[in-house]
Amino acid sequence: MDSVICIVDVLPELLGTYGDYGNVIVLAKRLQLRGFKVRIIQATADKSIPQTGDVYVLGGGEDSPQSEAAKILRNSKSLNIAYDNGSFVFGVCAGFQILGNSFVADNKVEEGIGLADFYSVRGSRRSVGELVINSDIFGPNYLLSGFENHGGVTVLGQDVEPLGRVLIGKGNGYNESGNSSYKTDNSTDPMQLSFNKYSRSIDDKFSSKMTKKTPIQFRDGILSKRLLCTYMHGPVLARNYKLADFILNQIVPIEDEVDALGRLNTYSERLRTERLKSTL
Amino acid sequence: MSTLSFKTKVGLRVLQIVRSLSRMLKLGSGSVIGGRLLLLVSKNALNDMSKGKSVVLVSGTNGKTTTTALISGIITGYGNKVATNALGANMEAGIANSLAISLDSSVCVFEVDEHWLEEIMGKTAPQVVVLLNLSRDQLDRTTEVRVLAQRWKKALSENLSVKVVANADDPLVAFCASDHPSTTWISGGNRWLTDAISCPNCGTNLKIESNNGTGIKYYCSNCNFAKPNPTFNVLAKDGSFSVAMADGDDLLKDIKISLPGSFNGLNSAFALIASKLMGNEDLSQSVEHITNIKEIAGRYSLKNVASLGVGIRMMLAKNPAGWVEALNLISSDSNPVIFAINAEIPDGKDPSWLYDVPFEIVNSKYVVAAGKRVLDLATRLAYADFIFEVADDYHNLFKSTNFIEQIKAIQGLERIDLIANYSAFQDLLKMEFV
Repeated sequence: MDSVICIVDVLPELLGTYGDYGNVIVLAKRLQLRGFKVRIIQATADKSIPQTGDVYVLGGGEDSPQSEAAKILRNSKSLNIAYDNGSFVFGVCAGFQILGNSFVADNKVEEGIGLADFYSVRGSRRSVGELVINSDIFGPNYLLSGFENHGGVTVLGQDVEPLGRVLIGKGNGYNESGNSSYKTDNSTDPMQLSFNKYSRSIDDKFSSKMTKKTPIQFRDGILSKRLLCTYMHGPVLARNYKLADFILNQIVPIEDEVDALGRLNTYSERLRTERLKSTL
Repeated sequence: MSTLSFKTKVGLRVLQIVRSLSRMLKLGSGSVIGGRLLLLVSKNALNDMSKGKSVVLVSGTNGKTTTTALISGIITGYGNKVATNALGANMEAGIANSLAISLDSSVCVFEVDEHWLEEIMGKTAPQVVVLLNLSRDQLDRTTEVRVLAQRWKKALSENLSVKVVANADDPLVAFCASDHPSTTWISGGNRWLTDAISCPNCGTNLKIESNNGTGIKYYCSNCNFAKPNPTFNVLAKDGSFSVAMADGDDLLKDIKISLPGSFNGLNSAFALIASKLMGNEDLSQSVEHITNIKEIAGRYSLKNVASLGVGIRMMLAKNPAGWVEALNLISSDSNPVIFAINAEIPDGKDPSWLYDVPFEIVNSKYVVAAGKRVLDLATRLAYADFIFEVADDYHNLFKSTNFIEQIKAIQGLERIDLIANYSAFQDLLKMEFV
């Protein structure tokens, strides 16, 4: 284990509004406690973004820093090169939107860096609150829990898989299979999409949600071989340690159970359970 | 009183009745509800009541309550009757109530919620506005901080006659006040620049130099935005501060204060300069009125715990910038610390910001994690390599033999520090520890 795993915190001064550095802390600590050497690179805008990182982490940000971050990433192309060369990319909230084809910030359509085929538009109201999703990675026995705070609606291209199905909250705010709760204003222009009132009822319990396929079920995030994105913002990996380990496993083979991680896993698991209960 | 409109007079009568009822039924002071009813009856009550009075407004993410209390202390010290919202009811209803119950005051000193500044400035026509700082706070329910900065800038552009006292070391504040014709700039360092790393004007990354906790320098390499030239330089330390003119002449040298933390030295300087602009020119005389202030609305008060033989110093920190200051204050001693975190509506429902706080700088301390969101805090502390206890109940904590033994074993134990966010702090303030 002489090699060093390199975690790149991408433009943290622009994409780090919601405690997003927490995800870097979690990934680094969970590698270190397994005996790996870790290097964290704070790739701020005044430095060049490295192209040889093992995992790139992008967090949330306000509109104008988000546009600025997209501009820097478009110009440098470093993240595209790293991704094409096999690096893993983890994008959250604004950092998720940037990785697609386009997004809206300050009422302007901005070009993303196109790591995958999806785009984001502005919803008619902000989505703020607990977000619970069921991902195929873990099945129904380990729901992912986070907090979302964004005004975006994200539409995935045909070949792009979501990270999971939303049980509580809005996530991408869209279901590509057609049963969405959005009006398209009789327009074929996806930019005209406007978000209608979220129609799920909070008293549907998780169990029924998992057994009964509801007609409108939003998606959250995206998942492909080397790309994982979500609207569960901030330190989502602290609350869902298995998601952190899933990402690490894509970079390097890791042992599942390590004694040194016991305390972290215990608190993380108690936290996740408490947050899930709070939404019921 | 005679200049008040008929509606305001009726509103004041309603407010009096609500206050009496509220007291009779032991429902608290009824201050916000009374203020709301007053405004419902007379929507211009605030304009009406503040007419003819000298008004100072204090706003910012952190330090409002303290700075307001210090200004109020100075102005009261000169023999003026002051109307103030000392308990922090800082939106329109709370301010209207504070004014209504001190109608015979000649001076008003109000802290104003950052989101209400525009409105309250419009209604009270202040002589002086103090702008302390702007940083991320309660993002689940409030505006992101740059949008707020835009609104402040607009409010100032509509109030050209007001004298502004502004923090030159906060780029967002500098952005708001740099076009204003009457700004007095104070430079005294800034430990939290995370929300202002890119230029508030054009978005390019700012160049930030010599940020060592005293004065900083910053400028944008793309547009002409830069740190304004300070009018006063402040050197603040834990327990003392100095104020000098920009050319180096000392105005106050090593003044000892009773409030802890370098941030309170800086707050003191803001209070003195604001009072100076209100006509109290002699800083040496003004400072006499604040050096003995030891606590503000329970903050920095020492609560005794009989079972331990030491006191608990109560501190409030509501957001990452506040926590950075509080952690710095406690980082140089070995006293144990209790952290308490809630995520109720006044705190913001999302404690993600715990990961913006560099808890690591005090991870050699003995720590107790508490509050309604103790699991968020415990997870954060575990990732920061703390050895800590989780307290589900404060009363049981102080009876726990393990806790008492741990505390008593600490070398050089002077006190227990307690740092809590807003509603956790209010919960703890009410408690009697035995």
